[in-house]
Amino acid sequence: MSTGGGIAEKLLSAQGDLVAVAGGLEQLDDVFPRRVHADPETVERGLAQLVLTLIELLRQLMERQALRRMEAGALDDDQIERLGQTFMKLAERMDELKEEFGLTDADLNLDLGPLGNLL
Amino acid sequence: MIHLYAFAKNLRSLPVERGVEGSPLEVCEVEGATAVVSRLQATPLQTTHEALIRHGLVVEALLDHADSLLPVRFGERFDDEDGIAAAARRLRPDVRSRLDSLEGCVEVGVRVVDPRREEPAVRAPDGTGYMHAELELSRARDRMVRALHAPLDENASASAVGAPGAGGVVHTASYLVRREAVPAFTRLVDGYAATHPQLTVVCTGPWAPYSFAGEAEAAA
Repeated sequence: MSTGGGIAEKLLSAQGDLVAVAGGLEQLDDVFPRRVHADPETVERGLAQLVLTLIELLRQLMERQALRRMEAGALDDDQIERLGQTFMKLAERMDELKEEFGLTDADLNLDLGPLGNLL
Repeated sequence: MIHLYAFAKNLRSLPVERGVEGSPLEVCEVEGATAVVSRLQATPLQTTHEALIRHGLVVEALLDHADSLLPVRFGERFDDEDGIAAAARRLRPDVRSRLDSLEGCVEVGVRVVDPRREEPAVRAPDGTGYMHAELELSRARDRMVRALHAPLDENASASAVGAPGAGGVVHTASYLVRREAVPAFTRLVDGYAATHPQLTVVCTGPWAPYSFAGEAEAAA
């Protein structure tokens, strides 16, 4: 079923890399519940994707909380340095793990239906 | 099995669109509102691409046929008209008042992507530098989004802002806009885009007001 004409008619204004934005439309499977791919060849990557998604969620939540506390003046210099070191190393390690399992930032997300995306 | 698409106010006519599984559209009056439905084979709910798209196309087609439309999320099905009436009755005041409040309004979506957000994480010589760099990035993004959202919000009846997501998305929001105000609203987005050429800015619509129909979904 083609909806191409309809979508074009709904474009009121656009600037920039529309391919990046429209990329999500090519993954209509995302509207269905995600599953861990349990094929022998892909189970490791599927599980890594799930685990890394949860780690990334926690990392982002902790970092945002730390930035809020820093902005509010609730952290001293030593605490800021220690937290910064931790987040920096965690971000570097996440990049390494994503590369190892062939995952991108866009892979580390979950469609929560009416609640939107996890990240 | 009756598949429910939307509640409507002052529905002038039914669109020519066919419903899910090619079923013809019908109306049924429930508790003072017009429900747009179609009758399906009594099979378990099939969540297929075609069914989802068909449901969406019907709702969008209805937008031009009624003064006010309360879309219902895909998947609401009932055994008979009494089932729809019972569901609508539970929150009847909400359904009717929602239809009144949405009259003449449509939903417009705005999505902003900052390609720079996809760049590698902040590199800093030490933890303090990392934290300060992240804080400055966060503030810059907040300023950038506020510069767009504030004027749009002022020119909308309501807005629903989503959390920034993966893929460099820094702003994703839905705005409830009076139909005649859509061109002026679009010009605001154009003006913002022109002063932020590094960003991808997409504005879509008019859509049925899905993001502002929460109570109707609860009712259904």
